[in-house]
Amino acid sequence: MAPALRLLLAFLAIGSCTAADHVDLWPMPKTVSHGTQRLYVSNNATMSMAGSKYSDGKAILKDAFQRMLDLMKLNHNADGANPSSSLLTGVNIVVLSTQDELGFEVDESYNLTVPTIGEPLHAQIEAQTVFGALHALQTFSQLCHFEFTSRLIGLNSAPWMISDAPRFPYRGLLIDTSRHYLPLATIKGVIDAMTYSKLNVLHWHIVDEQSFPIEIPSYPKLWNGSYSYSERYTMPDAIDIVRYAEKRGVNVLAEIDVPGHARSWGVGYPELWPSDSCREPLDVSNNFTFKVIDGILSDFSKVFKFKFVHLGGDEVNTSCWTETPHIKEWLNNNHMNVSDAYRYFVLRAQKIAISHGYEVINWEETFNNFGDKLDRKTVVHNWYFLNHEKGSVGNCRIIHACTKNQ
Amino acid sequence: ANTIYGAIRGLETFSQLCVFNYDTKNVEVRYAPWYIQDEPRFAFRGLMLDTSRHYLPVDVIKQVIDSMSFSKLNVLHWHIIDEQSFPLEIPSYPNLWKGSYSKSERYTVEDARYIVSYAKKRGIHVMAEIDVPGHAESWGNGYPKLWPSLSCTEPLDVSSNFTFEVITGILSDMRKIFPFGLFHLGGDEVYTGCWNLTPHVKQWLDERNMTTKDAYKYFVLKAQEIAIDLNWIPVNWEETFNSFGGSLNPRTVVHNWLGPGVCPKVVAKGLRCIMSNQGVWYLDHLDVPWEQVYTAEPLAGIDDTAQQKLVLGGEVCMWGETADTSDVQQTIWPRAAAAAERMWSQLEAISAQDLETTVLARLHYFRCLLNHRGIAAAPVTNFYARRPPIGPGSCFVQ
Repeated sequence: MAPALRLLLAFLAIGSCTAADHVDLWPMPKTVSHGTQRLYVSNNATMSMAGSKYSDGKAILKDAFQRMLDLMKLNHNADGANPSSSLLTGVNIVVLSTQDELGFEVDESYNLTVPTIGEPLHAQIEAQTVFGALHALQTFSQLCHFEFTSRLIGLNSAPWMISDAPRFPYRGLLIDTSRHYLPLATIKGVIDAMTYSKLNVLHWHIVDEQSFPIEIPSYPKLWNGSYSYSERYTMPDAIDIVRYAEKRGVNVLAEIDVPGHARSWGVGYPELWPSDSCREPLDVSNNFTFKVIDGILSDFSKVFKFKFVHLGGDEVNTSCWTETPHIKEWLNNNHMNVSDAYRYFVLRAQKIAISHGYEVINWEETFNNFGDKLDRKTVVHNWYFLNHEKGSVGNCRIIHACTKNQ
Repeated sequence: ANTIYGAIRGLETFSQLCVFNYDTKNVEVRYAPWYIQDEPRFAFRGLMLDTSRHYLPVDVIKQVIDSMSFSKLNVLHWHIIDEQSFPLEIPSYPNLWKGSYSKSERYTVEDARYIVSYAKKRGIHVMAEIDVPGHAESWGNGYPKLWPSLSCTEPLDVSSNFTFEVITGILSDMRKIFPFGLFHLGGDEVYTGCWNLTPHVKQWLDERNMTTKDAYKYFVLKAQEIAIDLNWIPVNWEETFNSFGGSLNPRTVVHNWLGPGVCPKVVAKGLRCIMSNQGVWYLDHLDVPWEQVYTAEPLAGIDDTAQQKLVLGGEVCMWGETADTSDVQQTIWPRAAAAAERMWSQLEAISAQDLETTVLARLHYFRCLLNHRGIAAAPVTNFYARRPPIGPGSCFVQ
């Protein structure tokens, strides 16, 4: 390269810009600064962990690095001749903590540096935990693109200095596998896509009124409520999903929505219905109902290791409780009206979940109706529509936030 | 099987006999013993992808190829280029892919080779198409000389030798990538206005006493020659047959699309035919429910057995104007499966079946199988294609 040109490039490279301009990163990191130089990523890019306290025994980083390389190439043959300069030979990852258990509020911060000086030239990731490093690899992959003319993986606007940490520790996506069964490949595809946008909680609304697709070993007839013989998840399937997600830094929040939204439970155990002609909510007067809930949560506790479990509690239409004689009697004997019974149900379910080591999340109606009686550690899940403009049609704003109970 | 490709089909059938037992957590085969003898009714069972109106990443094309193999479709007709974009690398004329939508919406030569080999492993041919002289506006982005003029950009300039040099270059490069015996040269929807309006082209026509219709024929035949010299059998859309069928090279395979009743005329003239009647087998026509796709018959109107043999088969066409990565698979499936059975199964094997009971049940089962295999096949019973389910329900009834 001509000396004058080299000088010009060096000059340009020094001038960094903090940028909303050429920064095609999603989501936007906390702080980003970059330059103007183009680098290339070597065909044989490697990952190293010099200086790391964490040894990647579970191959979380190693596998993520390979996935990242595949993503960057996107099925093209990146077999152009490696240039002699401006070549990144790999990524060095420094993880400061040996902890590799994924959990709520785990440190997800990272620093990512892509320098233009260094021998050999390599990107540097520093993170408190392996999960921060995973996010850093995602960000790095978004800096790279396949260059069609040179057949190399290019990285523009170096050097980069990125410092990032999430604003919220709970960034969730809910999937509903009751209204429609979603095959495992689909769920895994959702998990992959979540990592691309740094979402970290898969809220699995597994069961609802229409179908009960998951195996519950303690009560094996429950999944008779699946839509069909093949629209089901075995316990090993659930373990597989949790493991798949965990390796990618995604927590799995299981939901068992009670006492409403549970009509499908009675297909296997009709005694859970108030009566054959009045099938929801679950029969509050029957101890068996709570035995089943206990069985489900006990089985869940072996598979779903996230600190929270979601117990639902939304849209509870209690008319079947007052209309069914044996329940009406039970209410009278216990001096309860249906509101009391709704509260009683939710709180009793909460206690069962807590006894299995969980903290509880409930939909907002529970808070709206008896917020001061909820377990003190309950997380309230807001969902309800809010119409902000009176008289305007279809002007809704949906706020989905996880706010801690006061 | 006589060939490994028969064995591949056999493996696919076997995989469809297997079910997962949720109690024992084993894979089982039920209702054994099974004795299955099978062979396709038609040799050409195609699906067309359009990567010009929307770029489809290589991963998506691979997934389409996988899904084709599940229903025993065996020809991927790759409509690579059209007026909107030119995404493929052509080493002989490296500026051509400047007509791609963007720098990243492109296929390298290696990508194309990879797709061919990926398909071959699944017993699927790749038939490439270079649609000329119409549908070729994108070529001029890299080489404006190919346009009649800067303000009249299609069809390709028939009066210019350069046009045919470029076609020769493209076809030569493609000969190294696409080994399939058939090559599609398009030839549809040729609006010759620009030839008359552009002075140097008009002059060229006048010098040869040609009408634009003559020039259209001249263009198509000349392109055919280039393909034949490269040891290909040319396939052309039906307008070429409708306009000058008697002049087409006798090797030509005519690709029907405009409507019904075309293949009978084609085979009566001794030419081979592929059926894609747009009223039933154009997948971008969303208002064709699966029953209509299923009952379309490639041999309709052809009673002579010798002529019947000239119908190579058929093809469902996934035009890309209104389909992209986000919804291409749910537009293709499950209706393509209906056509796939029409093209594979012997009439005797399916004639006893009732459309709304036994066939529907089997199609439901196949759609759910596709879903389980990661293919986003849409609900079967919606009237319009690729619509979401109208409410909760089992895969097997929607």
